[in-house]
Amino acid sequence: MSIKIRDNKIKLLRIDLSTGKNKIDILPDSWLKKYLGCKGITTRLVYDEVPAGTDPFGPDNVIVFGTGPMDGMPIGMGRTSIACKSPRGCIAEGSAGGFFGPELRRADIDFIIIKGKSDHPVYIFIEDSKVEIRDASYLWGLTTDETDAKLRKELKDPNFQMRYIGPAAENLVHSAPIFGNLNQAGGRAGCGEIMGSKKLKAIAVRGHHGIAPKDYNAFVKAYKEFRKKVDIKTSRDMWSPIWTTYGAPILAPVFNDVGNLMTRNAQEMSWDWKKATGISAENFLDDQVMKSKACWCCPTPSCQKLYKINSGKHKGFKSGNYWAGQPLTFGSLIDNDDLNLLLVLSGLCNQYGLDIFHVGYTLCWAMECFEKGLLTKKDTDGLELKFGCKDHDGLVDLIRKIAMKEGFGALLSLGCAEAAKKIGKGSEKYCLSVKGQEIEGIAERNLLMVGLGIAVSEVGPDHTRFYPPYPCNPSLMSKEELEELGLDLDLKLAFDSRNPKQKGKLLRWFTISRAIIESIPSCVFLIRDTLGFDMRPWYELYKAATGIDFGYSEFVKCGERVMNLDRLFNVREGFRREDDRPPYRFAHEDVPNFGYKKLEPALFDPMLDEYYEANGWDKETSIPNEKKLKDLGLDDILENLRAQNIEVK
Amino acid sequence: MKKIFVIEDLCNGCRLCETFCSSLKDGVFSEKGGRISVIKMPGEEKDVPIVNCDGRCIRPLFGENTPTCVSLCPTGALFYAEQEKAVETRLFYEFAKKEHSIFKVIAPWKWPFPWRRPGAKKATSASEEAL
Amino acid sequence: MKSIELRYIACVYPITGKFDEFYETNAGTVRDLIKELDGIYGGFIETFINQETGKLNLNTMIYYGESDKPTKGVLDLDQQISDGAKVLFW
Repeated sequence: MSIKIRDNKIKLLRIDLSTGKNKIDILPDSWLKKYLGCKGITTRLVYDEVPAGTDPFGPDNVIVFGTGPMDGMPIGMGRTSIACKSPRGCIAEGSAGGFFGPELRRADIDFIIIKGKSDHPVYIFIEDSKVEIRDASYLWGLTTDETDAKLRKELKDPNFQMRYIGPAAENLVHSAPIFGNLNQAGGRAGCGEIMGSKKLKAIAVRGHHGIAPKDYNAFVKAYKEFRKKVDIKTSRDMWSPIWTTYGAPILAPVFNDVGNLMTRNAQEMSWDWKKATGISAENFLDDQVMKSKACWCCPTPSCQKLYKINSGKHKGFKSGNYWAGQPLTFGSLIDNDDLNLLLVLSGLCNQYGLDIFHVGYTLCWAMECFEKGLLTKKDTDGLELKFGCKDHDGLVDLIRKIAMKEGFGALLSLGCAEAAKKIGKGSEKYCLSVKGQEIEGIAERNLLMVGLGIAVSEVGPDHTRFYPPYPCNPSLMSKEELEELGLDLDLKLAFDSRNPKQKGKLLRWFTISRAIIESIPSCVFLIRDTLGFDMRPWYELYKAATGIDFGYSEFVKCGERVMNLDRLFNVREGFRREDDRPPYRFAHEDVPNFGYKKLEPALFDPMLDEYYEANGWDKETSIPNEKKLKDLGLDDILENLRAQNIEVK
Repeated sequence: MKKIFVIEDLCNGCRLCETFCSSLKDGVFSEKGGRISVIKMPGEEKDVPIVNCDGRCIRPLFGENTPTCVSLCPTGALFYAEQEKAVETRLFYEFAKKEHSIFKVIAPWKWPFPWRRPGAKKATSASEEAL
Repeated sequence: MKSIELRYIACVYPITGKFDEFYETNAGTVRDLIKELDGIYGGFIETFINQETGKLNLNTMIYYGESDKPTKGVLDLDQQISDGAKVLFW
């Protein structure tokens, strides 16, 4: 049986939900050489198509789903980039794994850009060249798993891949992401809300084309080298074995002892050993785990896991993806050591289409406010909302209320930054957020680069922009190798996580290399061994897949260009240096018992200065300089900014 | 004669096997055209590799005597053995899984650390039951 | 004799079968402690000590802490163990 092989032209499917029309545009090949693909191109599209000041909930905001040349080849890991303008005004770009990306490319489409608004709920149906906007009124209001089941039944072919939103995004709940393959979430920076505002419930795609790398033999050779660095038997990385089998919940006991585990709204940074091991991966595997799940072609044995509750009042409840966020958001942050309750709260967030970081951090903020008398039972619908709250029914119902914006849930649905503004009384001090979005659970006062990275991230807190947040083993890279790679880093200082020196430069390099990974695309979770520093294996794969042989330094420059695109969008919307600040608690309080210092200006500002300077950005405003923009070939953006009276030095 | 055997519980549905197998003839990655196919059940609850192959790859990418799909499988859900050894291996897997829940998600022969065998007092090296 | 607390997670869990224990030892260094635990549980030397370099294996980690000092990763297996220390193996 012969398979139709798709060509390498970059196809952009434009859909206007206001008019119901769609068409395919071909993007210039040069875009791959400038932006690599996926995140690089989705961000550029949002920059080009969403002028400054556009109403995020209006018809002129776009939402872009994007793939890259590696999607459809076994390095892409099913990554899909989703980008739009966030309701908070900044760029919103996130990615998710699963199976959507390769299926879209197999349908001979690379990007989907959706504009306008529908007057009734719809979903987009794509099967190779057939594109239809279909009525989705019967799906509106359904949870993510109900949507998946119902749509899958209607489409009959079980190999359709989908992205959809839950009731939370339909109700424009803050930070609601877009889901797919049941538990894969992406775009928490605002993409789900925008999709909900357009009344777009889902996208379903099926493709039948084959995808051929330009040089198959070179690709296989490069792939084998890549597998050596990632496979647990051969990887020289202490996180490889544990992250890829037990999974990230193991961080609860690991971080507990080092003072990295945020507890009770980060009032402390260490919990309790027994509680931490109670919710850790070993117990999870013993009891609730059913099997592991993976994204498309992932070499990781067990990143995700499907689970079922086997005892207690929630017996029979099923969900998946207990990962790094939940041991904090529904564990140590709210002082809950009941693993069943934790898994139910997490699973409900997936079903309602909520962001676990938003829910977890807003919940623990509310708990601190309650304990300090800033919220009372009258505000919380009678719920005794203290840390260690044992009211299972109350907490379970609260998740639903947040998604439906009912009762006390309506306040929490705003996110802790907006909720704190609403109730005032000094509650803003307890809010762990940056640029209006909740943080993500990685310690900032112990790992100084993380403190800097979370503050500067353009979409709001996003550790995947510089993941991994802990330094990798410096002995793997020699001084000569670093010189060869052109990394201007003092290794010893850079890897000393508590020394502020070199953190700006290290963050710059991590952000560039992650921008590369997100654009080719592949999964940032596979930065193992030296793959976070040495991008040459990724370049070999990209070259073999696309045939683009523009040299390693140009490849790296693409990453820098993509990193700058995020900043430029924000600059055009009015974001400046003042917005790159850590949360109040981390800037004003030392870590008790461990002695890690607060990120006060004397400590934080020199790191920020170093970051901006290394990037070629103005130290006072954070606006990229003219020299940098010209060096990156972004002259058109330079003109665009000056035309809007933005001073570029 | 060796055959490819499947431990369905260990399959995580990644489809590395299906994707690479489909490419061995013409260098084109797709879902069809190979000799192994992964069926994904609704609700993501089961992933079942269906193998129609004697293990002699038309192009074994990881060594002459190992099928490509078996080498690629991250969890060890696929293994290549004679019938008798396959029975032994499967039983070994089931006992190991009962003893240590980590083997719900990865095969013991893929685990790179020593572990305590069922009934043993001490842990022994991972390499002692190489297939 | 020193009284120390030992903690075991992840890859060490299928060796020891437990999360933690209080332990009495005369072991002077982390290396000595690993050899002692290998005698009880098996598997510790192979997991933690690289046979070629004699250093900590790159795919494992040990955290060492004392009550008045922050817990840190062990880089040198010949570092001393004090009474009251907490050692986390993973």
